[in-house]
Amino acid sequence: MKTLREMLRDDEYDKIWKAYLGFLDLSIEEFMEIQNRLLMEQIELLKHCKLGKKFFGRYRINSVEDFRKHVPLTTYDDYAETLLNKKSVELPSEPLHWVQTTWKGGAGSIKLAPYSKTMVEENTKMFLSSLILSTSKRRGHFNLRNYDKFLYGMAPKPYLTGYAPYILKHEIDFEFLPSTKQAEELSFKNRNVIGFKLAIKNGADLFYGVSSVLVKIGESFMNDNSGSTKFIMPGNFKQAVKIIKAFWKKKIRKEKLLPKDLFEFKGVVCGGTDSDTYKSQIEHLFGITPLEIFGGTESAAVATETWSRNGLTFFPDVNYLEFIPEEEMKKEQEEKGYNPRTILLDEIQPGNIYELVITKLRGGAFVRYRIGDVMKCLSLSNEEDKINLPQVKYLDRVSNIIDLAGFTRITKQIIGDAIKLSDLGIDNWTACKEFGSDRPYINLYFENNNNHSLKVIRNNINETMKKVDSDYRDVHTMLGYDPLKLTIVKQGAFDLFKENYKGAIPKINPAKEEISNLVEL
Amino acid sequence: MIVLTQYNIIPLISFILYGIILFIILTSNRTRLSKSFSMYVVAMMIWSLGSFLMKTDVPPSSLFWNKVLQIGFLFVPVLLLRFSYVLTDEFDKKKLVRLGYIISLILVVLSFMGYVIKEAWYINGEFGYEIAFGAYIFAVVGSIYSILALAIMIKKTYTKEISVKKVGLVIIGLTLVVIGGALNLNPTIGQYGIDILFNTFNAFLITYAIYRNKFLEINLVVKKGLSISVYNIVLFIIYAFIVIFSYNVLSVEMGITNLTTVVLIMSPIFFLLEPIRIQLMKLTRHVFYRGTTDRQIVLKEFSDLINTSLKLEKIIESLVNAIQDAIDTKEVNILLKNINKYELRASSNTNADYNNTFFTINHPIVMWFNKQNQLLLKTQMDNHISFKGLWDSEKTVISSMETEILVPIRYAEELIGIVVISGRNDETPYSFEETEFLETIINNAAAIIENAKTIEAIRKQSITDELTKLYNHRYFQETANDWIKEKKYVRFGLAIIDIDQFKIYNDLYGHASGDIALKRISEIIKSVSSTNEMLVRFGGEEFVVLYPGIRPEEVYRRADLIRETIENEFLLSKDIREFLTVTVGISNYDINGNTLEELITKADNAVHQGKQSGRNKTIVYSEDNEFSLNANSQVKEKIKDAFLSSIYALAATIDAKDHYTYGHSSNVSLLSAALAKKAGFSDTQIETVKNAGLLHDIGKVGIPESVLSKPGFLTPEEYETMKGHVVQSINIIKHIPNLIDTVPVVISHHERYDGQGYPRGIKGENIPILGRVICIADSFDAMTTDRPYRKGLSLEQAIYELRKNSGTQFDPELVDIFINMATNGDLLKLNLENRPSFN
Repeated sequence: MKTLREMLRDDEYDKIWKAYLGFLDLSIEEFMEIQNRLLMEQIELLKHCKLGKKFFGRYRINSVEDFRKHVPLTTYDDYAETLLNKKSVELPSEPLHWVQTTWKGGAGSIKLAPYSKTMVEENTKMFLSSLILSTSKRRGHFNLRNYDKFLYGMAPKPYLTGYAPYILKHEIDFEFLPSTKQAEELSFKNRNVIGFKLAIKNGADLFYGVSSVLVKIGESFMNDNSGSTKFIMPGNFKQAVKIIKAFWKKKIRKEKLLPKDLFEFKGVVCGGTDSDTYKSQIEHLFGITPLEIFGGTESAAVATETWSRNGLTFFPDVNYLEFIPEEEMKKEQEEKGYNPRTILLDEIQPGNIYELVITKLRGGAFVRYRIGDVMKCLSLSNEEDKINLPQVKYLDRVSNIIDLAGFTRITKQIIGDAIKLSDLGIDNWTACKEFGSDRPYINLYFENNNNHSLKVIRNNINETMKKVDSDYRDVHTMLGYDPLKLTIVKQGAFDLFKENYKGAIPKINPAKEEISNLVEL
Repeated sequence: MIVLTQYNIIPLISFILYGIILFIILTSNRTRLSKSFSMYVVAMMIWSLGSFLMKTDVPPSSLFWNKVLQIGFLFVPVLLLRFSYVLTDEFDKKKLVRLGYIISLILVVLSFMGYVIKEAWYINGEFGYEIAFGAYIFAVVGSIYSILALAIMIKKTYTKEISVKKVGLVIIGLTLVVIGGALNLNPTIGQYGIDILFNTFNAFLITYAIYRNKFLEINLVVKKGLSISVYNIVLFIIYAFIVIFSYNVLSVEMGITNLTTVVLIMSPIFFLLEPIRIQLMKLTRHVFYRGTTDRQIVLKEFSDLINTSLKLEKIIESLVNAIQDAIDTKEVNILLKNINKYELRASSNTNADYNNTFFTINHPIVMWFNKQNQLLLKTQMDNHISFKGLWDSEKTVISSMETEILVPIRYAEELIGIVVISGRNDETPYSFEETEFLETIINNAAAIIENAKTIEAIRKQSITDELTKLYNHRYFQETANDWIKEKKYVRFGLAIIDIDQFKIYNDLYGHASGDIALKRISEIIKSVSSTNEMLVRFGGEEFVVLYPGIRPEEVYRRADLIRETIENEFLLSKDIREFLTVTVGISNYDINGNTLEELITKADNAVHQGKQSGRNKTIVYSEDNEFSLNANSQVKEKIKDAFLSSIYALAATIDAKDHYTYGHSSNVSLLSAALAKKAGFSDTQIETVKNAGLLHDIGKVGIPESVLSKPGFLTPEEYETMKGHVVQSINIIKHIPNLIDTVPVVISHHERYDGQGYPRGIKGENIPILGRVICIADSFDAMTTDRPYRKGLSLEQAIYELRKNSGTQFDPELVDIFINMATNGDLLKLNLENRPSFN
């Protein structure tokens, strides 16, 4: 098969669209046909490996129905023993890479996910699909090309996003800023700094990164009024004009400089849980609406936005998709050991909320796996883009985790430890994620029994939280804002709540109603 | 007036040829390659047109046309370099090309200022020119660019980055360009336009290379027209040359001016040219319709052959050979449809994996052909969304056949097969004519293949068991006897596989389910057997497998694998219905006998031994076993007793779990046996129902005590849990070989005569008779038991209840017998436990 590089060189744009984005033409029936067919392949592979046998038990799984009826829903705990010890022989296919991510709230500190050769190929293809879409204005149109300058702001190997530049090399000639070789020798932060300098010098066509980081970079750029920024020698004529114009705007007209004055991105792809929140800011700063791609280490790419940027469309051949309806999620919370029912993509309904359950296709390890992400179905088709597949929106992690910027997973444990270590005599507390006008916060509701000043409390908790959780520290240093909000509730309110409402308020992410009940007590 | 001379004929012809080439390129798909080549062609057109007009009297002047010529001429080297870069996939050297454009542009300006060619004249049919310093600059720059273009190609082929086949002709063409350019520096040779001639050759070679290697998808209509045009133009050139040359010789040299004389002298030349014309026509055909004639012969030979044969294998093998001969392909494979898949039936590859090369009925390729009639190219598959659902294993099959083209074999709208064709031996792409040929030959073959398939199916039907698709008894007898008679194998094993308790299974679930089980077992046998082995449905619930040329130990291992797999698939599954096992008996030729009858009898004996010793066994026949059979059966009896004791103990535990039901199992056993006896059942049946009575609630071990001994009514969920005990009971009993016959009874003890019972909800006579017996006994005992919330019913009340539910819950005939027994005091004689209400 021709690579994207070759097809671009031969100007075969129609073929490229067909190969990478043909799935957008599928009907839901055709989509399900692909899903079911590939699930049967995965079932066959699972049948013959130890991991699969463990989940299948004594059942003979010969159909999609058998699979959904008899195979249990799983979490990472079910795989920890096999995957953390890299027991390749027990897996459905031979892994090519072991991709790593953090395991917050789990039994270990990291999670590993195996990627077979085919999975790597598929994932590359999906990522390229999103990149192409990010430069697209309508069906069939895009202007991604060979030698595009790519500012890559994602985590390095062994994280999933770190593999992309290496794998993309086989498919297309991008000019990475900085080059992958140079990037290897730099820290994550320096890489971004140098990348941006190079982008100012030579221009940049594509950006891929966490939305919050992009906003942060843009803002610091805008607020840098010190005038100390060194002049960067432009690498080409186009960039020279831009730099002169920017200089004119900043120095002569004394206007605020925005990144869009210096960059003209063809496409920006962003991932991360709060993409939706940051979208408008990115547009303001960079003059382009980012395209959201949704995925994760265990699931790889799951869904992508299309050119209208109005809802995510699922990829048909990466994961087998199941959805736990909201009422089932509730039932599970109420009743310990309850086995929630799942539905399929052709059964989801607009306006409803679902937890995503995936089975990795193409020889992946994860079976009916709960990645812990919650999505909302927006509609059953995208009228504007003429896509006849359900459109969803990523909502958040499942409610027992607070995720602030796509890379922070703050758990009950972390907050509890921090409060204990800060030694402020706070016994009764609950925390939840709340949205400010443009960014998310952790709001800590607590009884201030020892009457410390808010400043002391804020300082102490922030400091201990930073010690306990490095991600929390990164929110401060990388994004440059304090995500902690404090709300003091009346003394005895927690006990009263317990009494009045026949049970204690959850320590993390209680319902809005519960919070207002607590505050009113 | 324009007069054609030996000087201007070459540029004119070149101009026409380039026009045709440009037309072809513009009508083909637009790629970077076609763009770069068309720019080169345009430059050449300007050059040749200028060159032609320069050598005529067309105003304004020769010098003017010479300057026009130079616009094209000066750009040719840089455009050649660009073309060379694109062709070799090295398009990152843009700077050098841009520099070339700038230099060429400067040279054009210089040329118009007279610094390249100072003077050019065409006087009295003589052409001459005088060069200036610009020509030398161009000579250097042009040579560098042309040589660079050539060098890139040579380097790429040398380092094997690009195949000689792909660019060989282009390299020759470029060499000619370089030589032609060099010759121009000498005005004496230059006046004849040798350079333009060589460039024309180059254009020809590149066009042919593009066509041959499918660098461009040339429009079909154009291609057909092209062959005629090329033929005519070449013929015209030859004739024109001869006429002009001869005329010159006759008129100028020999002084003959009389037209009639000239015609007379020249006429024979045209006759003599006829063989050349024919050769030329053949050559054109060979170039543009490569192998057409050969393919027609192949097609005819194939038609003759298949019309004389009815054998499917022969027909498809001939088709494979015909295709391979005609289009010089590496590999041809034919897949034909059987019941549920398209399997490989013929291959040109001697190492083809016939077992694992198949397309399932829902294979994306099959689905594609169900909707589309045209052939399918591998490149289409790579990009089309319809093939997203391909399995990795399916992709491996496709690539193992080196698939390039897939052609459907269709008969009466049905897809009966698929021909899979690999790339060509010389790695060049297929032409449209070749794909047309493929469709023709395959369409011709379709009806005959279908016919042969039908004949094959009929033959196969006569030797195949309809249900299991294994060989039938008759074919087995014939083949095995032949083996023995012809001494085909020194040794072979014969295994009889007999399903245990199949009658019970049939009685319990009906014959339809029995057939499904037989099919599944035959599938299992197939799945664990190799292709050498002969698999037979011997009759009823018996199968035979013949293991040719295999040592007895290996026969045992393989036969036992069948037994083990069936045990895993059936007995050890969670489904209660799956209690089937098989007993396998083996005899070996010629250790245990020299005739088929002997072998069958001995294998049968071994099966018998296996059944006696508890079923689910694989036994190799030996005489010692036969003697010990009796002794063995005594031991088995004892084991059976021991088994039963443990069951009684287990049953007692259940009763003990619930104080109120104490003695229930034993009572149901006694009551059922009594009823069965009274109803006139056989001793075996009485024995069975007695055991079943003891065991019927054994599954209650798995029911939580909170539910089991809950006072008062059960909630719907609890009731569901409670109902589960029937299934649990079967799951326990099915593992005890000697008690398997109680399965149908136990599973039916909560069925109701009106079909409202559980677990199966079967009705009336469909409920096994002993199940109906135990149902009455069970209900009666339950009614008469004291409960915490109510006292047990009296005998009269119980009889009333039985009568009331006759025909709805209970079998009316059996319940009448039971009521009789109750009223005439028979029941009181039984040694029932824990029944104070009527005892």
